[in-house]
Amino acid sequence: MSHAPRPARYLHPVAWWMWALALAAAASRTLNPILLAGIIAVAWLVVAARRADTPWARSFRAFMILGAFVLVVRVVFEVLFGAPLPGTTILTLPEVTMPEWMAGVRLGGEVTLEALVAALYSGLQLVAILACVGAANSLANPTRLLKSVPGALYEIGVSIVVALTLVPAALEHLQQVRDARRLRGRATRGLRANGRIGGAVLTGALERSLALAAAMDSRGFGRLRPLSRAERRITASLMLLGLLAAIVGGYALLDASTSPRVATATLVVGLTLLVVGLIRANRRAVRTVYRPDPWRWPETATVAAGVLALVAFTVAAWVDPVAMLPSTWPLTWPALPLWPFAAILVAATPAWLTPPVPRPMKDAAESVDKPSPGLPVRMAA
Amino acid sequence: MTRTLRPAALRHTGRRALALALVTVAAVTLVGAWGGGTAEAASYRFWSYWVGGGSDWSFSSQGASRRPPDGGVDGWRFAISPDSASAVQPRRSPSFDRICRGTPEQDGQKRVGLVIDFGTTSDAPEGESPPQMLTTCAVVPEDANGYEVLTTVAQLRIDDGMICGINGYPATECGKVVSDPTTSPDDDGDGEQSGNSGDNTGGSGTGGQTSQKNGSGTAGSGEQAGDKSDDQPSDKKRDKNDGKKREQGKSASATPDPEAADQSTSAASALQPTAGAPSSGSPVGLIAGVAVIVGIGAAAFVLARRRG
Repeated sequence: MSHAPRPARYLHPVAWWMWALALAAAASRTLNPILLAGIIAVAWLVVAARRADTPWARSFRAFMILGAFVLVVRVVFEVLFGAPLPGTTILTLPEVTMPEWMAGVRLGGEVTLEALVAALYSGLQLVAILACVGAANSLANPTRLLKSVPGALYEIGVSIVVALTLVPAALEHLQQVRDARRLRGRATRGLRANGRIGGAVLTGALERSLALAAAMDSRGFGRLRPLSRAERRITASLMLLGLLAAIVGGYALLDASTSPRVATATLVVGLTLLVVGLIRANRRAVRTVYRPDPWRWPETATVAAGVLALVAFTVAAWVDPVAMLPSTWPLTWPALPLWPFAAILVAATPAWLTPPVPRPMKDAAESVDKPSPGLPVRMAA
Repeated sequence: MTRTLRPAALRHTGRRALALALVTVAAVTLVGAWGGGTAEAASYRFWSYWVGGGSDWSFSSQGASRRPPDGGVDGWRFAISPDSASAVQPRRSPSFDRICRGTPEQDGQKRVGLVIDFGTTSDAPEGESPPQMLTTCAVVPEDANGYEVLTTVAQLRIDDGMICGINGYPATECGKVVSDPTTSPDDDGDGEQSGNSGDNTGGSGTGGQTSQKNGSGTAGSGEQAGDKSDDQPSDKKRDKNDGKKREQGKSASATPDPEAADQSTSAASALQPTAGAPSSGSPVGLIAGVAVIVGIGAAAFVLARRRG
């Protein structure tokens, strides 16, 4: 890299998602609290360094609050419903034994240190996975992610975005209809009034949808290259078959009674068919992407950092399961597996390797001829 | 309408895609047929808990969190079965009188018969052979549950709230999925092989039987590095037990049950869990790791504050 300050740009959203999902998959390979805490810290660091000044970028905090809630629930459930395995008792709760017709479940009773630590470990794993997903949500721009969606799914993606933007509009319309009714001295409560209001809101939504459809049509949305019927049928059957095989394979992989070899093979075949089908369906699209996001070395480095962590964790779980899944019975201090820990540190490098995010506020304050805060910033593309 | 526009190139790709689809379907079918044989009968290999009643064993919906009554018999069986409802019972009848004949009653304690059936050779993980069946009479506090009864006489390996191993058997696995009871495709369990086979050849005499069994437990669990430090105190306990047993050895008859009962009384006196306090590993690496993570967290905090 040159010594000049790097031009600010958003990293490719797919790179962020791949980094985060690889890190989440790595977290699912271990129950070692040090490694899990490391993953959470790394996710936080990268979010703090590279999140944009946008509403969705605040979602990391929400995910961490959710994580704390999950951790508490996990520990409380262990205390209430955990199996009374022998161990070091630290607390004795009043005990309730359910009657026989409720399977005779025992609630409360002795709380052992071992069970509590095991619950903390598994809760921490959930928190780490949530932190990774939260980081991806916070770092990747959803509208830019939509651009990377394959052409065959573009219409579906646009529908989702349109639906999401129309929800606030519908809520606003609801309020307007209510206010109008109140001004006219009509009831705003009760079944009858709600039916009328609902009808008006629905009519409004329909009108807006038609107007939007007309606007999109006039701009050339949904134009497709004409294809033969055979071509379309092949594409459709490929996608359908692929989806079916992928679902069956995924289920078989989770279901313990199927051999993992068959499950993996079915899943791979299904995904391959799906990809082939998507590529073929892409031919119908005559759409070009406006200002596409570039994929340069920071993107590759980010994905590599995440995948490296995943590989290190998977290999370590296979080679050294004792360190990756520390024993809670008998209770031992968790060891620090060196290589997975080093991989976590590598996974933190996107905090520096990636280009800085554009800051509309700051840029506008520094120079007058930059775009104003509300407008989209020009990409360095 | 598009049929008339159809160019030759598209027709070509269409045929190619059709061929590709056919090939993949064939591949799926082949893979299904190839793997079908192994995927037929999937079962689990696990320790199941049984409640003795009269001459029969029954299944408890509560599991081992149930508190066996004074004069009850608990059973444990390691076997391969599809689910807990069709699990295999211990192979010895739950006769409390026979098991606890030689064990006197004690004030504030209850006597619970215990049958630990390590299963058959065909149910054993590859490279391991099941130890001899263990039948003892445990003397435990009145409110002890099934797990606590078991810990008084056996070393447990517990993972995720499940009893994975008793006296080091099986050595590593836990509730493993096996596709077929006769051909169990295992890739683990090579290090403990020698320890267990040595135990089996030596464990023929009545007197030495139980101590040999415990020895195999150490060989099995000692494989895990994390357990090593915790095996120390339990080893000492075992030595003590052996010493006590040798004192009582003269009165022990040739039948295995009273012998085992002798062992259990001495074990019951050492009810305190051997694996109580956390063992101290190597704290240097641990502290360094925690320090690095705290550093990362602090950096994230500072960055987040600066951004506002």
